[in-house]
Amino acid sequence: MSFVNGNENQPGWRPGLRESATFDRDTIAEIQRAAREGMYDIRGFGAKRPVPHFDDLLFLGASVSRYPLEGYREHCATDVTIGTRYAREPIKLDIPITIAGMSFGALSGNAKEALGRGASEVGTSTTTGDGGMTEEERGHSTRLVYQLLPSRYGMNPDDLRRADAIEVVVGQGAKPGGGGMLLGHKISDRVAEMRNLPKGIDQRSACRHPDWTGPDDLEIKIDELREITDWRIPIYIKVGATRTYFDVALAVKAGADAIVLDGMQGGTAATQDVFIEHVGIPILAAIPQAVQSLVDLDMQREVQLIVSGGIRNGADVAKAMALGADAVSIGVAAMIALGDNAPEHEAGYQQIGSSAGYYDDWQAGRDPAGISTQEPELEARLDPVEGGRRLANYLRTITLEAQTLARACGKSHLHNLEPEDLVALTIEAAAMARVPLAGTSWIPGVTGS
Amino acid sequence: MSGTVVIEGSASQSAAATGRGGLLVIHGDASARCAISLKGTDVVVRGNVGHMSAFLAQKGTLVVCGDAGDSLGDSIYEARLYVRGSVAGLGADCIEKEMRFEHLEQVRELLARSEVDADPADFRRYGSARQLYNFKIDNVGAY
Repeated sequence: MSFVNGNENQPGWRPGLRESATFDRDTIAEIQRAAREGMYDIRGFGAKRPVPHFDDLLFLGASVSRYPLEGYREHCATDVTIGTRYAREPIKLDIPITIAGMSFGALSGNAKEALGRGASEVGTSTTTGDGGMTEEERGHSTRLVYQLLPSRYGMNPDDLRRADAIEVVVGQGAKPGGGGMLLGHKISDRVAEMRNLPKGIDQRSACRHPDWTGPDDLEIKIDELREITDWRIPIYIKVGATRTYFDVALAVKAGADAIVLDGMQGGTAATQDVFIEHVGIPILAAIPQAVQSLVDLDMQREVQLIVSGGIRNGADVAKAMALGADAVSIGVAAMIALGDNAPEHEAGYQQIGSSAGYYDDWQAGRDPAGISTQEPELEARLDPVEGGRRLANYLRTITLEAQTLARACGKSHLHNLEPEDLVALTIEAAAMARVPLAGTSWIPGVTGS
Repeated sequence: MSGTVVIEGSASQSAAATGRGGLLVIHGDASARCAISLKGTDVVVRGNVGHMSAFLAQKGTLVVCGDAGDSLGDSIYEARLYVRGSVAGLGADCIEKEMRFEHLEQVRELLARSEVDADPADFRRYGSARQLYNFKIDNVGAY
């Protein structure tokens, strides 16, 4: 019996050498590293394991039974308004692609400024993170979402009132149920001051809020935030994708204007690898649960759904919206647009034992691209104007891609995309996304056979 | 951020959670996790506090005129804790520290502002041993 394991072209292989599928070289290397260092692996980025994703879905496109819109002439709108349920001043976005929360501390000041510049240029929002609001991002973001996190680092009522929306972070797709750790070498004087902690110590971010423990308490907390901001701005609730149907229902009950749903592919600044890869569910499986929850509560479109976790291109945007999202959010992709993992930094990556395309040690603070660092000489490598321009270019590109696909389906607004426009390439994706397997009417778990 | 809040009775769990400034006076008891993640507020409790009080407290002061429950000051950073009565147990990285003149003065001033009649000399001080500020595998038993 022949066992071909795909390593025949790898350096060092010769006939007779057979790699274990269970103990492959990566597994062996990790066991050896753990034995050597006595510490689990902490890294940034999101889940790297393959999971069912938007690539497993296809649009049907128009034909005789549907007619398309002219690609370069007929209008396909992209605007979205977030916070229509309670806020006096909902956020109006020109494109349904927002920038996810990323902290100053994890990211450099220049990176935060570049995110604000890029997002503002195309009329969308950016989001603070675990560490408070910086002048760089407030000053360069026309629409800024201020995160209320369990750690409350940098949180204060003055900045709440300067925000355009508040996002109560319950969980994150990369680590639902987990907190965080900003390692001491990224704690500069400025970061330490914003977080009320000494310089150079590891800063733990709590896994749950200290002043509320359930949806009834959360409702009170949200009322408190509404009073502070005079019911002016929207309040989002962000959850990591796990028991999504119930989490969304409870968030709606607690009074959310919008739900931010983050799948397991979503990025993190620093989390244990074992956590990133083994907790949470793919965004593909979570969106239909969230939509069903909103439909059951008669809240679809009244409470907006923003989804994140592995959004890379316009196809992902369009597919997420066809499944029922009102908007999407990007984090890892935004960092890559700024210059993360760019080939021009290859020498720098090599010096720290990585390579462009693989770099995920965002926790280490030695980012050659000047993004996930607090070292002034590294940060200076990122020009916030140029970075902002790259991000704006990228956002425009994926918006155009999404519009192209929507027009092909005959839709004059991205929000008109619907599950009926989609089919799945695999049984797993069909079951998770609740759309038919291509060429059939079979939705596993929904239709009979 | 500032000002004074006075509770004539007792407080439920997590009183003054992440408080950044001002003074909180509780004339009764405070339940579990009083002053959790404290970030600058001064808290004076005339009665007792529950378990895990001052958990992850970063900055500010907790003055307890009664007793403290188990795991006081677990994973504390730079907050100062003063307890007059008994402490059921200290949390990870929390130790008793010397009560110097400056600490007696701080307790005296907070008691006066809170209108609580107690002798600062009866209090003991607790704070961080600063051994868990940076992760070390040798400390894994403390987590």
